[in-house]
Amino acid sequence: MLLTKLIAHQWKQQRRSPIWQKNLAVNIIIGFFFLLLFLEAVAVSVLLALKWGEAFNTTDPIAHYHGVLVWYFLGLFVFRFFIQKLPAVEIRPYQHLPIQKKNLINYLLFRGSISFFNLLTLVFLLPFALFQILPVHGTVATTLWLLGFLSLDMAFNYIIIYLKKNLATNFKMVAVTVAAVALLAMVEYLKWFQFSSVIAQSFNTFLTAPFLFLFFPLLAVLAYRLNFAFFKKGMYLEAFQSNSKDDSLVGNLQYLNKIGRLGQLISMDIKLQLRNKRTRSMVMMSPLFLLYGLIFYASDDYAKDSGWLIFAGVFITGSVAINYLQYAFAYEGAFNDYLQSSALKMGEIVRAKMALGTAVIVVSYLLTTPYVFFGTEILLINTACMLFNIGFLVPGLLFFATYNKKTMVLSKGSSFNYQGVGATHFLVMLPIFLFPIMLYMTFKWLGHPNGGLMAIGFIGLVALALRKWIIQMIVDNLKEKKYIIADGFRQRY
Amino acid sequence: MIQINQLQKSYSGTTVLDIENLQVPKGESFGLVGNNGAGKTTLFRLLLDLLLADRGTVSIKGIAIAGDESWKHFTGAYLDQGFLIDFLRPEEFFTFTGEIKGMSSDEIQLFLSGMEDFFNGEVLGKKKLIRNFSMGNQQKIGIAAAFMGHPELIVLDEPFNSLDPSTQIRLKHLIKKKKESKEITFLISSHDLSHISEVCDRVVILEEGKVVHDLHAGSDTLASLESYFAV
Repeated sequence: MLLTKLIAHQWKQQRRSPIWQKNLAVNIIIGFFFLLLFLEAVAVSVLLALKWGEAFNTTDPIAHYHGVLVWYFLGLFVFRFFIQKLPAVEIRPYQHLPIQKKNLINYLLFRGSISFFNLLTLVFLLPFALFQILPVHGTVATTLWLLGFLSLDMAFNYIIIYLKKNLATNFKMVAVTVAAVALLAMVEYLKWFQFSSVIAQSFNTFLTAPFLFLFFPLLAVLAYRLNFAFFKKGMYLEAFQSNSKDDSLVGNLQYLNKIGRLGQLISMDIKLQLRNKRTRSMVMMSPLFLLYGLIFYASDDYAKDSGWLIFAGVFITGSVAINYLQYAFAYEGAFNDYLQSSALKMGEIVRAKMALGTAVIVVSYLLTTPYVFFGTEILLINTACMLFNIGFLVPGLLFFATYNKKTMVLSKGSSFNYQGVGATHFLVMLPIFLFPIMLYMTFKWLGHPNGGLMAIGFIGLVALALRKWIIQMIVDNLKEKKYIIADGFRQRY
Repeated sequence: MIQINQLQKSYSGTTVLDIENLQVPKGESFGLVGNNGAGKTTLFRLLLDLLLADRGTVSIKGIAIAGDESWKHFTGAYLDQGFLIDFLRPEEFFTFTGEIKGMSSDEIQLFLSGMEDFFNGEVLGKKKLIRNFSMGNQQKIGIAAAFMGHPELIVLDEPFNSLDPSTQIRLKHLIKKKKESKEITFLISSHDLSHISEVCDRVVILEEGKVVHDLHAGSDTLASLESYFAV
């Protein structure tokens, strides 16, 4: 059977991938982490399903749930739109073999329908179906209800695949999508037209005539057929090759080139970040890191005078830079031989990376100044942490990066991609975060929390003053490890 | 120009390169042939200080390459795709490389227009990133970059690979033209015996990391090479 063979190949590819084998420990930790998250999600879902009425203070839990469901599916649609992709490359080695096209397409679409999101939806729907719908509407209606919404999810899946294959995935389209969703949200928020309640209302009506839910499976089948027809017509290699349209993504950054060697290197690093799939998706995610402040600063749980706020300060002003600096050299692994045999000086490269890292931290700091809304002390904390990050975190991470001898393969997306990432990369974060927290806590314990903030900032400034010396240390380390690094980077994966 | 003494490199007990003594005088074009695993790329990497030798030294123009970096200013090299920055456009890559080698932007422009013939109109002005070019065109970009600046030494590992026939001939012309002035020392490896005997003054055969033959240019270079590799 073809399908099972293809799936078996897929499984082998996963298991035999050097990424998987080399990072087994990390994978197990991450796997455990996800299992935990999953179990928590199940527990929350079951609890909510049991006590939906009490939890949301509503007398008609089903109608209320339908209202939530509209937003859930909308969010899922947006999320899928950005994350989901068809694993088209996987079928490349089979295309020239005497296998019927339709089998390959079916396999491809089957693969495209298996994702983490489906599970998420099931976890969200099933408990509610069992505990709320079943007792009221009976088995038939509940089954149809569940089938309907699971199919709706699947229909979204295929619609998104179709959209993404037909429209080039470029920034413009992303912008249009975001704008469209924002517009809908605004219309809803301003109560011009509350489409969410209209849709939720129709879901309620559906329950009175449950066979209407069969509309959703029909939609899913239609979307599937649409994709099938599309691929049948256009299943050629170039349809799957990445289009080079995004080449013009960044201008030439001429202004940076004008400020000499340093600017030239920085502009190259920026291009590296924006023109490679993996780094680009990281960059696009980074605004999310800045939003973490909403969790830390807005909630009462992270009580105002705990060390958590220091963690938040370091994290918010530093997280984007951390991503860049930790792998600063590994990102360039693919052309390390070029850099090493060129007349570039190691010191120039290190200085360029420091400058870019510093700039990223300053920008993060400036973008997060609105958090002052939650209290002026937050601005103080962020300022101290920014100084600490510039002085201490930047060179610290770069120094650590010199021990990295695994190259980063940049052509794959960043989500769930742990190639080139080791357990040490997580461990190194501990001292960097713990140090300022402990410093602050010590001062606070002595009764001078603001003294703690000053100490954190002061340490950053001292480290900044010592920067020349630290750069030399990093350069020496790079030179000493040069051959080991070069050898490691030459091993792709 | 190049002096190699007692150079040895082994990987987990297997010696992959073992060269007693090898000298390449200035202006010579030096060819390197040998079957897979003979140590050609290893030699080139050692020469460019990308590998640490177990023993022995390499010096370029009397400069011991390990620890000194001044040789990089007059050395151009293209070994493999690790010498390309694949997310740049060719123009950006040439500008970057040229500026590192101390060229002004006018010089870079002049250089590129001199290379138009070699590129055959397939490289410049394409608005494509290097990674989206075909293997052959990537190879052209890498080779051209090795000629930038005013190199006194050019190291090319299997440069004829994946080039189309016309470009192979153009590359031979280019090398021959550049070596006329005796200003540039070439180090070229290849599996194509006729190409290598055509462009090189001297051809060395490597086998299991050792120099087994050192042929100086003559009408019979190709014949001797062919008889050596005959099966």
